[in-house]
Amino acid sequence: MENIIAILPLFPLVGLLIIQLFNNKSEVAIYRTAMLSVFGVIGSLVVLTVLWIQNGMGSVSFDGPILYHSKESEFGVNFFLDTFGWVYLMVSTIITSLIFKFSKTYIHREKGFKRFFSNMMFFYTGLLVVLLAGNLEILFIGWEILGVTSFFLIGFYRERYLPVKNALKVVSLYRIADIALLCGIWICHHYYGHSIHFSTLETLKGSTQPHIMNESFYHFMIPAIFLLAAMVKSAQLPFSSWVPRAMEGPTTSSAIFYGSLSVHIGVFLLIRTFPFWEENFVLRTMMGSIGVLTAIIATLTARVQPSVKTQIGYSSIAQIGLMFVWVSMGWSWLAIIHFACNAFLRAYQLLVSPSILSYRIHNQFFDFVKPKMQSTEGFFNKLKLTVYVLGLKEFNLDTMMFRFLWQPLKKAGNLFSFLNIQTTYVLAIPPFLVGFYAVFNQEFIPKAILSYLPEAFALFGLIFILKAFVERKSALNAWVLIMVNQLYQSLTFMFNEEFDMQQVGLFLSGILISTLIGIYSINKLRIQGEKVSLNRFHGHSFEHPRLAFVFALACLGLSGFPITPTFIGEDLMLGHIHENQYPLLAMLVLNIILDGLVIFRIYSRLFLGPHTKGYHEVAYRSS
Amino acid sequence: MSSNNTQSNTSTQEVPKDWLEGLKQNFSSDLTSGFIVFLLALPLSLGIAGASGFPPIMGVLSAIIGGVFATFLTGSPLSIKGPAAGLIVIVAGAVSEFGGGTIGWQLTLGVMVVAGLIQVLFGVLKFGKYVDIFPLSAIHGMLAAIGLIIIAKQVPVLLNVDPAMMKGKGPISLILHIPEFIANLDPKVSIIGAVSLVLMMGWPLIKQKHLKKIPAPLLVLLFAIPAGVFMGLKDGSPDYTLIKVGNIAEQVGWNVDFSGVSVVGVFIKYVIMVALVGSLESLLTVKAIDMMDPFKRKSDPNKDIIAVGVANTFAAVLGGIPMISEVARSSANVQNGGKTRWANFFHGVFLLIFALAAYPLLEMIPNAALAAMLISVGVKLAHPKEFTHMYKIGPEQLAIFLTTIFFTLFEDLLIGIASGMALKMVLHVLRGASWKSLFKAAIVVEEDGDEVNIHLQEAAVFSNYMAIKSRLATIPQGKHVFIDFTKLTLIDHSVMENLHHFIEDYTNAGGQVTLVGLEEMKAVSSHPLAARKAIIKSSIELKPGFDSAGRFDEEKVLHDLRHYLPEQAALKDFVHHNSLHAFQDKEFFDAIFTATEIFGIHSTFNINEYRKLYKQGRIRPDILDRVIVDNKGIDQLGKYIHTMLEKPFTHTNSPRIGRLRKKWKHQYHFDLNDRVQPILFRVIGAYLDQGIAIDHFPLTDNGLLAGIRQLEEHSFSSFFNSKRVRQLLLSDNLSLVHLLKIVVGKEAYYEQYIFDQQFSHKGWSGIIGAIETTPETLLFSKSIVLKEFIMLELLLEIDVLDTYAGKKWQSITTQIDVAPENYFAKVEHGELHEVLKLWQLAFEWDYYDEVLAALQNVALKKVKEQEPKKKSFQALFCIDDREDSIRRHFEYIDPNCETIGAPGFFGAAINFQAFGSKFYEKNCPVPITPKHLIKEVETKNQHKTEGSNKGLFGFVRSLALGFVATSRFAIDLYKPKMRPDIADAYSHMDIHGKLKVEADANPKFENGLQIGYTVEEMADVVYGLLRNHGMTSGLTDIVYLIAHGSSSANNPHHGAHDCGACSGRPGAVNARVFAHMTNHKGVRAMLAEKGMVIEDRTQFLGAMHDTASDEIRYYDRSSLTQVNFKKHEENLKSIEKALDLNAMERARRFASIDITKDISNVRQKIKERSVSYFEPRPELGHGTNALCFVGSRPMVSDMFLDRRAFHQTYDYKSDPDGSILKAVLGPLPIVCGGINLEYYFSRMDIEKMGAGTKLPHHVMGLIGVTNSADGDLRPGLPLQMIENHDPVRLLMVIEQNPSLVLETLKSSPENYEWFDKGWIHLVVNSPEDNKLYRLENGAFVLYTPQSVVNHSNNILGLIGSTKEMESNHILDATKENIPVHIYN
Repeated sequence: MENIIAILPLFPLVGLLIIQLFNNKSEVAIYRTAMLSVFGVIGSLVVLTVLWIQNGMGSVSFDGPILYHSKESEFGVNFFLDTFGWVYLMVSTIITSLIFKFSKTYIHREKGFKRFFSNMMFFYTGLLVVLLAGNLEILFIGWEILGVTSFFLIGFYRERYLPVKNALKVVSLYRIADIALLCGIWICHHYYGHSIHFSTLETLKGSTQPHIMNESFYHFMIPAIFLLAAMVKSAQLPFSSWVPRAMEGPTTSSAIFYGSLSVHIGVFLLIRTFPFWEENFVLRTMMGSIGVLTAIIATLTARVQPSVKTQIGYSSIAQIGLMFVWVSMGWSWLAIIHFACNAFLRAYQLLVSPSILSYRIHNQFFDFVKPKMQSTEGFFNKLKLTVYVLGLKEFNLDTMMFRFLWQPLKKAGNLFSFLNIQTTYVLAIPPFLVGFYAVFNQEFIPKAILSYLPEAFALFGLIFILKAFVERKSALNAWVLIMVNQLYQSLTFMFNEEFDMQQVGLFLSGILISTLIGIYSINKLRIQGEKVSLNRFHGHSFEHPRLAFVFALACLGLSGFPITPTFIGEDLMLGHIHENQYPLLAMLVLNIILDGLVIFRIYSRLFLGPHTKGYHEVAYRSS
Repeated sequence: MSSNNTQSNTSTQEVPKDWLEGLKQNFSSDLTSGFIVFLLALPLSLGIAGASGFPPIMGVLSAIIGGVFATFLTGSPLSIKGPAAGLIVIVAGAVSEFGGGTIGWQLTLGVMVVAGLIQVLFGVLKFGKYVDIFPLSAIHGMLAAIGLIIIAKQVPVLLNVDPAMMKGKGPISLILHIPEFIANLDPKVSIIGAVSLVLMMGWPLIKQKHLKKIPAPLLVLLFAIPAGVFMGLKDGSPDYTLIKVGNIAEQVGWNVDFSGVSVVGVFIKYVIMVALVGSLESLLTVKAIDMMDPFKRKSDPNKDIIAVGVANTFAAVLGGIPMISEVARSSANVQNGGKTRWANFFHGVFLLIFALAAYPLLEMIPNAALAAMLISVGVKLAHPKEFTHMYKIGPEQLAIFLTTIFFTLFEDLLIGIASGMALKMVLHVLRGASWKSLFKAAIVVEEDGDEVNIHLQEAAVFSNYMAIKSRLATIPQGKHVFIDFTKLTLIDHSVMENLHHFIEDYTNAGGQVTLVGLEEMKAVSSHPLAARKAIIKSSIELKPGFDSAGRFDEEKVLHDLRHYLPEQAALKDFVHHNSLHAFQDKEFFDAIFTATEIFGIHSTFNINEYRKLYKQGRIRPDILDRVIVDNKGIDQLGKYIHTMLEKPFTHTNSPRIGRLRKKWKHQYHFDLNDRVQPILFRVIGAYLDQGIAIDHFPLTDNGLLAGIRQLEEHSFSSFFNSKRVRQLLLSDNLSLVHLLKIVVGKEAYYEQYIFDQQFSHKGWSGIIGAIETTPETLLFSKSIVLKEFIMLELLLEIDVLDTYAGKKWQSITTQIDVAPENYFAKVEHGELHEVLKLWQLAFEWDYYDEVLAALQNVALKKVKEQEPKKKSFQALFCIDDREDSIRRHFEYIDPNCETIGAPGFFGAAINFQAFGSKFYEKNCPVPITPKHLIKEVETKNQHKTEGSNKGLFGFVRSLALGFVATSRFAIDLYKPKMRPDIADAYSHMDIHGKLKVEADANPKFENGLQIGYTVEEMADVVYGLLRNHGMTSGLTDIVYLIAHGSSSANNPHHGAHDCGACSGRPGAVNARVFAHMTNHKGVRAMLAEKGMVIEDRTQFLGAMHDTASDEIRYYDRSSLTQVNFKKHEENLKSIEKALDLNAMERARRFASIDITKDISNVRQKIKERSVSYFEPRPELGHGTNALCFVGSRPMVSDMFLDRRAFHQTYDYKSDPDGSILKAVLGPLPIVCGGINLEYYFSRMDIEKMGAGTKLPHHVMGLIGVTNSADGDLRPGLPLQMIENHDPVRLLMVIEQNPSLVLETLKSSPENYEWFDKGWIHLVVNSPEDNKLYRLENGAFVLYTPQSVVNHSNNILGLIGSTKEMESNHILDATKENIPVHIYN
């Protein structure tokens, strides 16, 4: 039975690989492969369910091979299934199979038929990994896959401006959730001293490491960070506004992602991490309040939206808000039932949303009563008008993200606009060499200075990544700056007394390869006479789809996506940050977030968006 | 230092002499002044030294050295040297860090010796000039902070608190402990302190001239010493009450100790501080005193530092406190008439004498009195006026000032001043200076005879002022200097002030200075010397011929705008029309290439696509040759063949539209559209929403702006952030022109801007224009005009600019460097356009020629065999191209039936009202305004509706519905069936209901429409239609009137699949009404009178063909006679077979249907398509339409035209005068031409002219679709409707005599234009000679087709013969269009 759990994610993964063998025109083959893998999952699920029921429906865990082992941490392939996971799994599989069937005809003859199915398969793989993950590290892998596929499916119509812009917007927010989860892993490492198995979560309580400085801090921080991740992914306040903007892809992908499966994953994360915060009354109150507030605000917003998908999106968010409330009250079973119903309903509603036009218009012929003019007098009426205006503006949630998140980062980055390529390298190399020398000659450096060196190098890295963030001219420059930043990051870790060259090696291995591939791709474009500046979208995927794919892989590698060992390295090295090095942690977190944004930005600017050459149809910016 | 130049220009008398001559010349005045300064200096020196932790007498020692010794070195004759309050903080810090007490003092002296030497070095290296690097506000901030620290430290002394209480407390905590100090004060001494403080603070207020002469410190001493004696402080009080001075002679000696060097950090820190701050203060003093000097002497600052440095070293060795050129004493010196350096000397001498002789007297001074003096100095340094003064120069100066104070208080002086400088640089960068320019000389000097031009460039700020200053210093005296500010982005307060001094000095020296372009810069505050920022970043030369005059004609612009915007109304009323109707007054190619140039659309394929079509054989070489020869002449053939096939061309894409508005992005580096459009679309979407939102826009009855204004007034929230916009919105004189003035600026650009703006979202603007002209397109009526929408957008633009571009943004034309552009000016077409035109013609004629060859072939054949046959039944169809195939199959299955084509409203131009419906539907071609209303008066089945709501309480609903919905959905995926939310072609009218067709005897009217037709009117309609279609005799027993509609699921564009001749609605009502009319006895009687006899056995039966599901349903079958009912049952069999075949023919295009399967299976699949949610192509609509045949059916009934032709039945024989032709042709161009061109343009540019792919569409407000929550409406056809379409213009073929056709056409100019300007091709098949004539340049020319005619006798085989398209690219998709065949 345990082995079946481990096999489940392999079905779509293998399917995904097989799909790559076909070309875009082989729609039937692609579709059948996809369906077969889903049926594989369904078949295994049936067997699994039967066995599971026989065994009393307790939780099941699978301990797989250990991918990396060192004295302070290990990274194992562990899977875990309990009732909640099982329900989510069933719902996901049903919805996915329905959507695949639907898409076969719906996406028929679309330029990106294969791209669509590949992404959907990848998404499904990621989802299974999240649902079945036995520890936080494995969960994180699935979590990242959800984020990346989201990016590609929001920007599915990559030749238009808005999908690409919104894909970037959403993935930037997702990045925050990803990093929150990464921090969660970090804190758990320090709190428990080893990676956490969900199967043993209940027994962990109280078994803390003696060296923890500030217990109450950790008690609060661990769940708070999971809550943050859940809030972002499940679009709770103040992050709600990304959902309608994510509905840029084909209706089917919007339905599966933002109507049903992806957007509820935050609720699942909270259920999964329940033991972490079970006794934390403050946090539960927070969670509940966020849920209630979201339910109210999202409902008020949904009620006034003139676009049907936006309305469904906000309605769904409101329901998820309620799920947060149930979870906060400890009623996870209610949340999971609610999830199933809501996921089904919203997927359905989104899929049939285009029919609202004929349906409502037909009804209006017979039922229409012109509403009375809203009165403007009296406090209550004024309040109604106020709520209307706020609802229509989505309670300013979207502008807020722009003004308080992106604008300040941009401004910070612009402070370094005086750094041009030469000065950057001149500035980057000597301190790095000094630092590198210092690593191996630490005895020469006064203690007082030594303790500040990691922060200093982290700060350097941050400056370079900020610079890359606002770089407008050269993609190559920005790309190399990312690597410079990563090098500085690794320097930061080298000063740790538990420093292990092997870990840095793991970390850098993926990064160096990815950087080289990236440089190769950018240069290839440049040699072919294409523009590679970052001041606008170039849409090179129109003429260079293969290169776009290669570069996308390089981007994933560079951003620590779990396709290279970098991911493990990153995890390990993060583990070396001491509990009391908050400034360092803060800088690194900001750094990793920015780093992801920069990478996605470079990819988008180069390969996505309206293609600049005028020989074919290009959509308006506003469409 | 704040400049006090009240006396600056009182005299131009002779400059006092220096040295000994000066001593003689000014002996008395210098002596007097020296004495007064001595009085001032004595107590302060004691106090400062005491407060610094030095023995008090050491302050006096320094002042003595400063006077007696430094006098002979100084370069600044009027400055007085002595201990400075400003150094207290530093020196005290050093003393305490070195351990305090005597050791601290001696080690500090070591620091001072080094600092003094460094000062000397500063002077030698002429560092004096670098004082300008330090921003004045930072220096002032530092001094203010020092003032605060002094106050904090002296308050306890004033209160005579035990110094033990002060131990170890920083300035902040000292201040915080004041209450504690007060609680512990020494009442007696405190009184002395308080009175002294009042004297110090109050004395300057005294206006009396003579009293004013008495220095306040003297007064304080005169009060405090006797008071102390009186109170017996010497014996009765703690020993810290009075100062201890001691004999100077006993204390002076080798006091210095250099062992402090061992604490390197501390030592260096204080060396730097003392040297830096001391020099800085001295230099500033020198500068300030120079300004006060009535004789305008210029000091040498470097020499002065040297003097101070040497004196400091000397003093330090002997134990004295550091000295500077002290500003308060120096200015007192000037004010009291001091004229030369001897004043300083005398002051020193007096001090020396006093210290030696009268020191016991000094020991009677209470510390509290000295504290009072120091506090008053501190207050002066940190006076509130300093704060307001800074603020007046500019808020940023205050920020620097405060930052410096903050860091000085909490860190130390160096960090304080550094932070002030750093902030200033950051501010400069934020103001637009680049980091680089901050350190680059920003000055170019050109000398030209007596004129000197100084050009300041980029940023002139404190950090690069040095360079400017040194250039200014090289300018020879006495010239006319022009200082040019126009190339400057930024000038700061420091430079402004320094320039001001330069100008003053230069003019005093006899020169002349003129400032150029200073007024063009914007001051950050009203202070004359405030920092300034450029309004104009760079002055661009205007292009020659630049003219920005021009008037704005609001009405005309709005009219033109509506004209050019897409005309598409709400989607429920989808009607095909020419997407470029605004250009229809031009010749076709001129029009499309003009539109391309203006709007950036694609109106043909690109050159490579044509070339590929050529290579694939889809454009045949002989046709290409013929097109070239026809257009260019035979001698150009070779050249053009080469050009068209080989010559490289690049397509450029730089439309005219949008050029002006692009400048926002360049100007403010953010995208205006990104910020404006989301909220704009949201507001307008909500405003026009027909029923998606649960809470509708509350106030829509009085127009858009009125609604928003009311929301603004009555809600607590707003769509706008900017106060100004809110005021604008609510103001009475809000007008379009006013807003344009703000945003655009120059009037000449208004029109261009509005076009740019509205075409950046032509979908929304277009629908607003359409609603403005046809408000009935909305069921939930909303009052809206385009003008208000534009105004709203302008308001939002102002809002966004106010919010993100800062308050000082400029209208877009402020820095414009191009003349306003007329977007609709004539477009010159280049060679590429010529080539594309020829290619498109070749592409079109490749197909046409095939058709015409077949037609000629058939025509010749038909002449031979013309035998009448016994007809089984007649069926009147719509002319629609989709009915081409069904008609062919009718005739194939039952060769004896006859099909006739007529516009699908069958002459009944009506409004229809379903039973219980609250609205009318218009069922006739768009240009016709119906006069009649047909009501459904009875139904068997009530029209069903469901309520729905969402939201917070949707919880219960979602719980219950989730599983239900999904099960239902899963079933539908495998077995689709009709659901309430699927657009059912048959649902608009109950098939078993009754219509009121005949009017009452006295016709009733409703909303100006007559309910039903009178018998006469019916007779007219029937007569017209039957006559036009040659149905005057020989009617069969049953005549079917088969309208058409289309069912589809999940398809917002379903209206585009219904009948174009019925305003995009199913035509069943019209068929039914027409059947009713023809079956009416009274009508038949009237017709008989006109000679048109309809026999009683003949019955007309209304029906409707669902073009998606391939079903035909019949209306009012119960009215059939028994005989006819039987016949109908018979006919049904053949009709069903025909429908099977039709389904089969259509299915070949659908990849999801396997046409090798049983036909009933195919039929079932076709039916399922029409109710499948997952099917974006329920049918293919008018895709591939290309022909319109006007003539008799037999001419084309044997031709396989692959559903590409409209068929209008017309019998030339019964129309000798062309009157029928005129009637028949009436609606054809607008209906068929409209469909054809909409497909043409959507196909050529699916993104800009079409709606793009359907798959991501959001339904917006029930009126349109968008791709995105924040996107524009997408007018035009979706990709799934046009992907198999060959974009060729319509070829109309008329069977009639050419000259009669021409004459008839010309009698209706608006129709003739379609043909004359080439929007529709016209060929006439002349029955007289069976030859074809093509309309060219207004005349018919013989056309001889050259294609080979295809023959086939297996129509089904033909249908099954083609392959599925590989992609929907034109090169693949339309390959499957089957060529014209003749069968039988």
